[in-house]
Amino acid sequence: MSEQEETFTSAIWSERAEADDPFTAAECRCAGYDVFGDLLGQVEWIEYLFLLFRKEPPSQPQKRLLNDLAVALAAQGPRDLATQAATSAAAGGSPMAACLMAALSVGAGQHGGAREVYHAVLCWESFAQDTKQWQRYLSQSWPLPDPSTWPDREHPAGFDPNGLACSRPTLQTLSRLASHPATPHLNWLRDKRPALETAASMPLALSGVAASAFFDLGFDAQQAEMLYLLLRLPGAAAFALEQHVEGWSSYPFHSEGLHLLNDPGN
Amino acid sequence: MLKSSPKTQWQNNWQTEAGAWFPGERVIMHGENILQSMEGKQWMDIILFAIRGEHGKEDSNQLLDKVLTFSGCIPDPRLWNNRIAALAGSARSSSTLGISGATAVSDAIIYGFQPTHRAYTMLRDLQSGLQKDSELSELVKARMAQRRDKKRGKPGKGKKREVDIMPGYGRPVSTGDERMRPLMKLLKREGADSGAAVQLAFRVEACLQELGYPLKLNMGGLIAAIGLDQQLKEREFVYYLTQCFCPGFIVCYEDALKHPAGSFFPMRCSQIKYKGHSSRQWQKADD
Repeated sequence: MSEQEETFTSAIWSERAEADDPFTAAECRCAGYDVFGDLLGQVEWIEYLFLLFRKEPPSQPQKRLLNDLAVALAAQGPRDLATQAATSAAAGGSPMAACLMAALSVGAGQHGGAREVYHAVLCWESFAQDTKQWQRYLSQSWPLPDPSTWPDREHPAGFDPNGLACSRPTLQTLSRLASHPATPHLNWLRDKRPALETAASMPLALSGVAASAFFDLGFDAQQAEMLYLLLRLPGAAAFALEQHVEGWSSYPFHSEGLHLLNDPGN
Repeated sequence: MLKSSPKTQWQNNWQTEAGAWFPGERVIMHGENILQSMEGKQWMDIILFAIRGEHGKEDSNQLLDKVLTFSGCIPDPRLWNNRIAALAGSARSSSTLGISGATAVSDAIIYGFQPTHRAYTMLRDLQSGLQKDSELSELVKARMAQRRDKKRGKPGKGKKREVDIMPGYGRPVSTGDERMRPLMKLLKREGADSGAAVQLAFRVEACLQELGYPLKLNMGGLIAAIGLDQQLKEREFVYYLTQCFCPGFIVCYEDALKHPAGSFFPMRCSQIKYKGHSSRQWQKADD
């Protein structure tokens, strides 16, 4: 091992130590801004979130768009799979961290989860507003094999394989987000949605709207995946707290729902 | 107050006897080159070596291995921790995320790691109480009296949920534990049914029955007793427990992956019972 002091490398964060203690920061700067001496008390949480990810403050339209997206994603109700994971943990009395870990583990997935948003942003990066490329992608034969440890991709990213039509909250979110300035891809998606849904043979999902918004905000696929995980946690946390108090006996157990097809009997 | 930071002495200085990797040469754990010493050993041997820091007796390792074979294998996706694995499969998340999320969730109050750990400490405390000539029925009665304390949190619901005062006895959803008979059969075959803690666990059950509490020893309670009889220390016992549910998670994840995405017990909107404030409009604050 080299005697030279090893370092973290960050374009986000810098610190100046206390004069008498090199292990305690006297000043912390985020992308150059003094966090506790300048930002605190002036910056809004959503602006600080943007700053952390992008290392530049958002414009006013970017701030408003990200804020609206964060509201749309914060809670999807107790039936949502990631939220169910959190409440299932809470029903049994698992620690708070386990509830959020459970929500993250499930909400990470390729079916309505953050991995789907990741793939959808990659599509935006590749196809932008090229309708033909989108239609080719959407109408190809599914599933696509995934060479990683993720399951195969069974449906086009950002679309709902189980949906009958684009849900009202998804349409409301798309309409609202596309009303912001500097949202060319959200506007294109709003206009082309029927054609894209026809090509995909399934309706647009909220994850698809979110991916488009992240792309208009300038986030790359990984940043979008991370933000989608993060921004969906408030609802999971709130429902988990509620279920902790309600307990296990008022939680669906699907008592009559499991049917074992190869029960050898006693 | 400290005059200087103690971190100075620790900077770039992690002193350990636990283990290290020497790339391309060897792997050391607890002072042994495990690439040599573990040759021909079972998976549970290295788990227990990691836990204890020393090699246990072969028959003890084998018993602890066989005990876990029964403990966590309930591959029912409705159970709260298994459900995370099933939901992860249904949501097409990765198996690693599903299994690790489900493992974290197993640290629950009404089942899993917390009550089993507390069953261990309760049986240990009862053992030391009996060594001080206390009567078992008095000790059990005193514990059950605490159950009536209204300040005490209930395990199943409420704001301050706590593990039951008699952990290892009784069970949510069901009263009996179908795993007890095969595990006791195993203990008899291995000559481990007469261990002091196992015997005590059944005496506690008898006591509870005599006192009019219909609480039966459950699998967690019996495993806690086995852990005590096999001389696992408290933290060692918890480490051992963390291994137990994995088979069920794998089965539930893989099964959900074979089903259509999002098909795991979909819930209707009408299945949400709302009990909050009635509909109202947001009043925007003046700037």
